[in-house]
Amino acid sequence: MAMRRDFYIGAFSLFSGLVLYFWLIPQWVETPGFAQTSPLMFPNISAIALVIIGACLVFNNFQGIRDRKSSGIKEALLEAVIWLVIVSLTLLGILHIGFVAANAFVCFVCMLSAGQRKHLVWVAIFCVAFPIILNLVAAHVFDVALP
Amino acid sequence: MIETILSALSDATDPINLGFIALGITLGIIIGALPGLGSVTAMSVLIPVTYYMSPLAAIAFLVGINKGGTSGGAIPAILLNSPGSPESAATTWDGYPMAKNGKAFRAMKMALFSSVTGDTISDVLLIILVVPFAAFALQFGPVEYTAVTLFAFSLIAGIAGNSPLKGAMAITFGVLLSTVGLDPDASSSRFTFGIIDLYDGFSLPALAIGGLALSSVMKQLSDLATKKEDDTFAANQKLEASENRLSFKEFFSHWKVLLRGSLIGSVIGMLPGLGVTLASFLSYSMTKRVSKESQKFGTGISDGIAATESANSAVVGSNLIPTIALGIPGNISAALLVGALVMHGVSPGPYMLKMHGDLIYALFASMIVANVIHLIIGRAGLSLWIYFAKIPRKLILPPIIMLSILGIYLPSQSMWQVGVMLFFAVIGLLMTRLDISVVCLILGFLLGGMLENSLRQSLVLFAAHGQSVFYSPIAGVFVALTLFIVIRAFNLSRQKG
Repeated sequence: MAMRRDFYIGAFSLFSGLVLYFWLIPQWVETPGFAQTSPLMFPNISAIALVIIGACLVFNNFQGIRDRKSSGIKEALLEAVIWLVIVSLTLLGILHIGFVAANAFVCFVCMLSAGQRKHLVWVAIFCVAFPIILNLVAAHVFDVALP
Repeated sequence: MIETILSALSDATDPINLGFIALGITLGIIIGALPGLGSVTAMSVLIPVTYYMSPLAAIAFLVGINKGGTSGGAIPAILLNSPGSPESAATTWDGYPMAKNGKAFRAMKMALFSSVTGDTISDVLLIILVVPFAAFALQFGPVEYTAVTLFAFSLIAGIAGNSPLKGAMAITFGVLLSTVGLDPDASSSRFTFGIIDLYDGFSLPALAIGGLALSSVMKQLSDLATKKEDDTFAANQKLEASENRLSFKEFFSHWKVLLRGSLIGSVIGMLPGLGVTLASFLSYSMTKRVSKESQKFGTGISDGIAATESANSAVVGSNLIPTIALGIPGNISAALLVGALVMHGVSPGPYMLKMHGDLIYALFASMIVANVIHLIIGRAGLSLWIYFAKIPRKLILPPIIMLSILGIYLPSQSMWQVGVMLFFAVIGLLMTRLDISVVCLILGFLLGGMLENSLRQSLVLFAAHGQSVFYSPIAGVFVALTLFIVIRAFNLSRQKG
């Protein structure tokens, strides 16, 4: 399982290095003529290092491709996507309904999904009160207005 | 000299400074006592808040959190057989059996006293060694800095997880992230993709809070939600509350173990990348090996706790030696301190002692004072910390998300930074699941700018002075060590493969 996973990680590193070297760096690194050393140099070295490390990982774990067990990458990616959706919604929530309401909702949902089933009324009160307290601290102690 | 020492002591014992140290230690112990959280999480979340403090108060506060968090991790390890942080894992081996035998308080006292002893020895070593180290580092030019940074990277990658190659990959991605923004030489844009916010590059607090603290919270919440981990043990555990005496005479009868642990922790702390966890495990295994009662280890022996706790706390002080002398952090806690120093306009490195000598000596004095405060607060609150250790994680973790968002928004007042933090939290979670070290990514990001500057300066010197620039014995030694570590790691990974 670990070899198969590391094979794919190596392939990702190799691919990232190549994309960086041939596309992203030429496209997104400006090169003025007057610089003593080119701004391209260090990103290029890093990209080459990624290619070499990726190739070593692929080479070391080549046998892993025959492994029929799950590499665990799909599960990890799925979990990351779920969290990406949650944090994006949190961010949108903070922007549109404010820090207190968005965080109170996210906090309560997280506690429920983590298995909290007892004293739900008290938990809900805490989830609302805590961001209100933080909001007051930000406003009166740090003089910062939260969204 | 005497004037400097008196001035440092005066700054360190300022009531506001003492208050922040006490607050830092208390928060550190509380957060360390909560299973699943640790001093790194506490420091990451609270770094942005220090923006509003004076530089000395800010650094003393963070050092207090680090000291408190390291010793606080022993409390759940002893009481619940569940270490608050990885460095306290070895404490469970003898701490939990002692608690089961009705000696929980005795074990916690042993852990606290050992922790403070290790910390104090390490702080004294820091004060003695930092000036010679910095004087040595003043001989470093760009070539030496390039060699030392590469050596640090090889050590960090070699220790990270099971695969040095994956560690090296994470460091390289971190280095690449450090290139985002304006080029330091030509001020031309790199990887900004037309986004104005990216012209300043990524901020260390956003990366650190997201990658270290929030990703850990997300992982634990996911595990609780999918029932991979059980959270009920903490609430159901019955604690032995009987007072167990531990006299100073009895404590200091373990002086050999304490000294060995403190020295192991201090030496490991001085080397970049070798973490606190390694120090505690190494000290435990060495103490067990030389002990006449080695068969009793694991059954609830005080030596086991003394060895582990003195070693993991000794890392806290000594990891500031490379941080202050070279600007290269000894571990992730020191990296976070570097971030805080930079936020307050202080650049770590050999010139730091010259330019900010007052601050550094006041910091040293604060660290010694912090050890006394640590002992008092830790001892006085012994019965109280137990309650924090019993709070279920499902109630503690979600508010950490709120605190992280608040922590990053307060100094920057930018939702962009909040977005960056949340994005790197997801990246950190993915990396953790795939067994890729997030610490390597953060250290690569932190040291990437330094490596680029020194490498480019070396090349400019090479263009001007030819290859004579590279005839540096210091750089030669570090390049040879780097090559040795890389070749050894490659051979080991091939053998494993």
